[in-house]
Amino acid sequence: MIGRPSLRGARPATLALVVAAAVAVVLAVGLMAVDVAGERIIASRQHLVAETARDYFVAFAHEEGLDAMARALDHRARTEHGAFEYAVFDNDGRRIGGSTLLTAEALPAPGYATRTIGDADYEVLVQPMSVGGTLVIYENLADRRGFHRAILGAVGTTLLVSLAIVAAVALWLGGLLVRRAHGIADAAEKIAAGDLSARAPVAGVDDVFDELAVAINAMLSRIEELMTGMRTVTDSLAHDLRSPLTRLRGALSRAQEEGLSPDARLGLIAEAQGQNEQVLATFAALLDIARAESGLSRELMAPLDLAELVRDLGDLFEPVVEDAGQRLAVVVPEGPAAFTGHELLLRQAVGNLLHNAARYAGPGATITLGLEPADGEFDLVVADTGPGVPAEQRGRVVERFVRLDEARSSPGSGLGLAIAAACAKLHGGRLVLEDNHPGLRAVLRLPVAVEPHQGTVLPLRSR
Amino acid sequence: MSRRILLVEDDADTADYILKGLREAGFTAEHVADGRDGLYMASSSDFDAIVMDRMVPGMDGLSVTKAVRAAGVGTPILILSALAHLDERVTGLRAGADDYLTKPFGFSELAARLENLMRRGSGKSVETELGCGDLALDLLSRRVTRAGRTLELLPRELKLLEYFLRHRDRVVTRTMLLEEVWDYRFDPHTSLIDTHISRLRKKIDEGFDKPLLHTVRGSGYRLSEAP
Repeated sequence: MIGRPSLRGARPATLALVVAAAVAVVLAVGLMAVDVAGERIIASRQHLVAETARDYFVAFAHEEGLDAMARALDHRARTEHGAFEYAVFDNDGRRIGGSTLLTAEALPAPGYATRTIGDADYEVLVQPMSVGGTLVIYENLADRRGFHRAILGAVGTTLLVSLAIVAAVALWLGGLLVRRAHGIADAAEKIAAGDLSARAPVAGVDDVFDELAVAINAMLSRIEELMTGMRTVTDSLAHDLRSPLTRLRGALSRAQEEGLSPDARLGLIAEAQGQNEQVLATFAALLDIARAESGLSRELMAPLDLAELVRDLGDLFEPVVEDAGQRLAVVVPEGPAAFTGHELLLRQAVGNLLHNAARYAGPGATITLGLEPADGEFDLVVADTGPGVPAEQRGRVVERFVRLDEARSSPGSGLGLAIAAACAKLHGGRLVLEDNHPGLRAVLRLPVAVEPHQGTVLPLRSR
Repeated sequence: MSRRILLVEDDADTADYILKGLREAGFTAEHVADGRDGLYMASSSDFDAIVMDRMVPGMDGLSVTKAVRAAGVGTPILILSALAHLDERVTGLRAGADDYLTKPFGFSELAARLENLMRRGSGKSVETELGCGDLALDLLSRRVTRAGRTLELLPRELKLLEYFLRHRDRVVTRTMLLEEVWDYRFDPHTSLIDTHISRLRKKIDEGFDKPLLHTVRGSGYRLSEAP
């Protein structure tokens, strides 16, 4: 496998980690905000409790007197064990009731203060009373802190759970995206390694990755088509050029032998010439196909009359067809058939179809050369009543150099149908091979006044 | 006076082959290897025909042809090219050339075409009747007679015969016939032209003691009274 760090760096785990870290930072900030706000809310709530108690006891002292209040506080200290403790001091600084936490000397100034008494922290509220004496309310902060911790704990747990969920989702999503991207990258790597049949996976969910994969696959199909064409050309070129070149060499070396009659020598030279011409014709045909397929020939498109073209070709081929023991019927509509095209290539293409028909249809067959105007197109038809071509082989015979095997040894470069197909493509149409019941019906389907296409065009997705 | 041919060709072997052939055929030949020299020679001196390679250094053959025509020189030009595809011939003719021949070619093909070009250039008056020996074609009535006897010819045979009569006594190659009579690229695997010729021959020569339509071995055909 070829290393592609830039493409392969994005592992799903890394992606999830990055997302989780970002989420964790956000959560930490949130937790701190909850901490500060919670602290404040709890403090103000506890102060409210302390002040309510203070107001109650101040009123109590006012109505019942300090002694009654001191007794009530003692009672309360014996029976209640909450966060709050209460004490009352008289004007002389003696504690007369309630909690014994602080002595009068140790009392802070009136108002709230925090003191550590023994092991515990207390918030102390000192309140001098109008009836005399001082009310002291102690709040053990351990409770408040416990409560605060509980809130923080709850919030923290919630946040941790969310973080875990986010991380999991990021991991899953990241894995999905990276997997999709890697699927396409894998296809690209296989292609680079020479496997032209590799395709980007299409998940069928119609997302941006599918769109990308479909576009890439269309491109790959076209490339594969061209490459297969090239490969067939290389293979077949070897065959189609080697045979005449070998015969050419044979004829020439035999012509050099001593003791040959002048006539025999001339015959051999003529044979060599014939083989040589076959090689040249193969090259010429290849060039025509290459130019037509690349669209370069388009500049030579000009207005022409297809009816005249068909009649002309009928004229040219009739004697050959008749010599092969066949009959040629030319069917052309009345009047001219105006069309813009590459006349030489069209003549060549139709000529090749006629050649094939004459060569393979066999004696007694009828060959029909026709021009059939249809809606927005012209069909140039060459139909014969010969043995035809089996349906499964019709696509194959259009390819370059492919001749059905039994015909392989017969002369001809096997490029005839390929030229016809390339010609149809140049004109924005196609070569169709159909069953003529019996025989083969070859149709050059040429659209009228349609921009000739440049190769495989992807349908644009409407968004 | 022997006819003068200008050859613009940079490949020494091809040039030697053509020059030797031209001189053996009785032409006077001048040779330059550079396009600019070709343009200079073509516009400053009088030639009967120019044979121009499509790709020569200095200035390519098509540009030279265009420049020669722009300078008002009407000398027939035949372009030689290794570019064998169908479009090339049209591009060459559009540039102002009179004929186009693909490499590799046989000298007989080149000679036949040159003869054809120079005849064409000599400018004849409009004819109403063409003939060869006792064979006659009336261009207005499209009637063919031989030794006073009317021959029944199909339109395509008439077309072919007319071409032969217009090139009487000259060698006409199969390629020339296909290109000029039918606008069709020559295909060596077929006997297209031979079939047409044998049918024409049957009509105009069969039953007469002296054949007019001759096969020229290795080149093509010739219509003439001389064997």
